[in-house]
Amino acid sequence: MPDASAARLDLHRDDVIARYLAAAGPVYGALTRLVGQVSLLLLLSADRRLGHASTAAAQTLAKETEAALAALPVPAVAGRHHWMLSQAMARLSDVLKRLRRGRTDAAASARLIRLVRSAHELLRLAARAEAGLSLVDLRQACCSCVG
Amino acid sequence: MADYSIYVLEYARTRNYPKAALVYGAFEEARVTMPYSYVLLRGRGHVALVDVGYSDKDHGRHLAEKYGIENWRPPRTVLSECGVAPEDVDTVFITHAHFDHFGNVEDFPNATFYIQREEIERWSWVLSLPDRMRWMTASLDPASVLHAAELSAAGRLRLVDGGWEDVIPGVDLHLARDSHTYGSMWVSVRNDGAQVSQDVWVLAGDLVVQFDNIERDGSLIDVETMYNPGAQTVGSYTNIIIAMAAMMKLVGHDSRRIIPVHEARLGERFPSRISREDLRISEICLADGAVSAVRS
Repeated sequence: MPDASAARLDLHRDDVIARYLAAAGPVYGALTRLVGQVSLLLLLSADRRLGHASTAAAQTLAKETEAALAALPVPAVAGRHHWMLSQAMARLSDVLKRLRRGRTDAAASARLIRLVRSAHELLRLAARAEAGLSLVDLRQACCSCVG
Repeated sequence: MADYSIYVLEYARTRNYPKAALVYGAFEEARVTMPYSYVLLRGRGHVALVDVGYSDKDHGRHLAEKYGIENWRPPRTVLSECGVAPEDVDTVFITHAHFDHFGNVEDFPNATFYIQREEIERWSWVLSLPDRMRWMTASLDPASVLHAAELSAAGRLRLVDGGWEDVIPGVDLHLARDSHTYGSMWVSVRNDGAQVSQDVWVLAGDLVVQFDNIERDGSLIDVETMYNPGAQTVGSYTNIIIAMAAMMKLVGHDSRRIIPVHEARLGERFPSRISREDLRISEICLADGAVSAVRS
């Protein structure tokens, strides 16, 4: 795991970091959506076998997000942040892979939920103020949020 | 004879909210204060909630700041005004998965949750859509969904397929497909316990957010009043109006019996008081033998 001291630098004053954050924002947004999507699939898988169509959309989003994450230009100072995103991605991909294998028993479901929970915690850490990202991207939000 | 006491409990509010967002077409009307509330049912050996509000952490806090939501209080504080603790709640009906209805899931350790299967299945699809379609997901909190998965794994979440009578005695669930959300649910209470009840209350979720949604001045179409849905919907206005008509039929066309949770004027129609936390408690009805939580 990269040195935590890297995250303590003033990221906003560094153009390189600003560029990284701008590029990482959409990836972060996709990861948070993936947390929701994988959680929903886990929920549905508890009482029925998931069809291919159910997991295909999440799989597509996961592949696109994985590719976008790999393509990010990562300055050394953002290494810790990128590592957290990568770890979250890996955990979500792992859960998706296991879900596609078929219905899971209660013990397996509990393990998968723990993996999603840990991915979500990594995203929460990555969203801390010094990273310049928030847990949800509200730029696209609208008044329906209160509905 | 009444089996259940029913309370609407405000847990937060926002001021200066556009009326047009709550009543489609009200573009010239003043901004209003809009409460955020959930509903407590108590009777027949049950303590049940309709929705649980949002969690004032992470996503919820972001939204609160973004939309000027203020005076949020946790369920323990809000419920204590009716002598209830979160641990007492055995049943939770989630009308839809928006953050302000499906947030504080972890606060109710002894409750079984009910939500429509369609609500869950369609959100799963929407979350996979491209970025430019994300308007549809703006009010979904990933943490809530994760909590729901945890509930499901623990056997405490039931997916509902359409209607369900007597999920607890006298309480029925109804699906309004593709309306305010993809699988919005509304709840009716037959408070006399009869199958053909003369004492029905409807807890409408966000299918009816304010009185004006079902009692709107109908001069536009030359009638006294008309149904006028809220503007905030991902589904069909037509389906919302059809759901309103079904609710009204159930309550014998007495619109007073349809309870909106974002209505600031509940205190004008029902006994109510303001708590020490400056939140309104509205007593919709009182079970036989129950003590009022709003009258001294």
